[in-house]
Amino acid sequence: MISTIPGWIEDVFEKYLTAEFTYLDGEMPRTIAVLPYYDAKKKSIVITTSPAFYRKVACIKKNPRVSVLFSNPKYSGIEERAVVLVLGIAKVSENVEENLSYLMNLMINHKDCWKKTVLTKMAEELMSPLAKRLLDWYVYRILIEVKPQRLLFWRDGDVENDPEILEGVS
Amino acid sequence: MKLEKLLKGFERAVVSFYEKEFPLSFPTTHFTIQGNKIVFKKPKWVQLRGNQKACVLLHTHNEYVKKIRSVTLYGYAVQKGDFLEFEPKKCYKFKQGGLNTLKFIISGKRRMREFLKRETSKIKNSTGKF
Repeated sequence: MISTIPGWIEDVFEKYLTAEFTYLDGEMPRTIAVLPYYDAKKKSIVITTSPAFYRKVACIKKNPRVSVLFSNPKYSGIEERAVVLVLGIAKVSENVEENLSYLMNLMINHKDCWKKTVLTKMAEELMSPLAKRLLDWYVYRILIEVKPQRLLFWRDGDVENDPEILEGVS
Repeated sequence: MKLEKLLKGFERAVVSFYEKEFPLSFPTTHFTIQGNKIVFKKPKWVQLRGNQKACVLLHTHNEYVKKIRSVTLYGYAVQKGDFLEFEPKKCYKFKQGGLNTLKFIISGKRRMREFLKRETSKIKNSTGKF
């Protein structure tokens, strides 16, 4: 059975500023803070990284089972303290030129919120002449597209209790 | 590893571990340092088997995702009643600004050069020419 992602969870995906992304390096979980995008059409969470940090990409290609935790509503404008843990399958896209135009589209079509302001400001900063010289390696992005398989969520944010679970999401 | 100094100023942590199919994580503000270990209050749904590999991330930033500060710890976690005892073995820390930002840029450029060198050699090896 395919479940639909509830609107309030999509809101969390779009508006929470940062999230914690975990992949496996063998059996060692590695968690990094990320600023994820949400592709509402594809119902997937999009994380980006520079090819300079390719080890991460290699681990994900080896084991695409990953998780993304949305746990901090600060700066999101959402008053509830909901926590959503996405368990999903990651697909890596290494065509950096296509990725840039895809990301630009995601940013332009992003729901109006503080996160959009931050993403736009960051993109503008990376276009400055100084950043182009210093951060040329950072501008090229590899995409890690996470397709949710299962959602664990706590609408009241109390993760000490058992989560509500949504299986087979799309 | 001087945990008190390392974790000073962080109010929340994210604990990650691996269970069956996927890595799992939970955020928490309930943790204390006991010697060389960090003790976390265990959510009801978390069940660890023996001494498991685990990662603990602590990070902060401002509203523009600047002034980033983070500490990542890798180690082993074991369940003890309602708590998880985490013993870190490796630590990576980052604080945005000044010399750290410069180091990040230089290291990024070096890593990118290495990446491109590897990719170029892969293409050379597969086609015999470039």
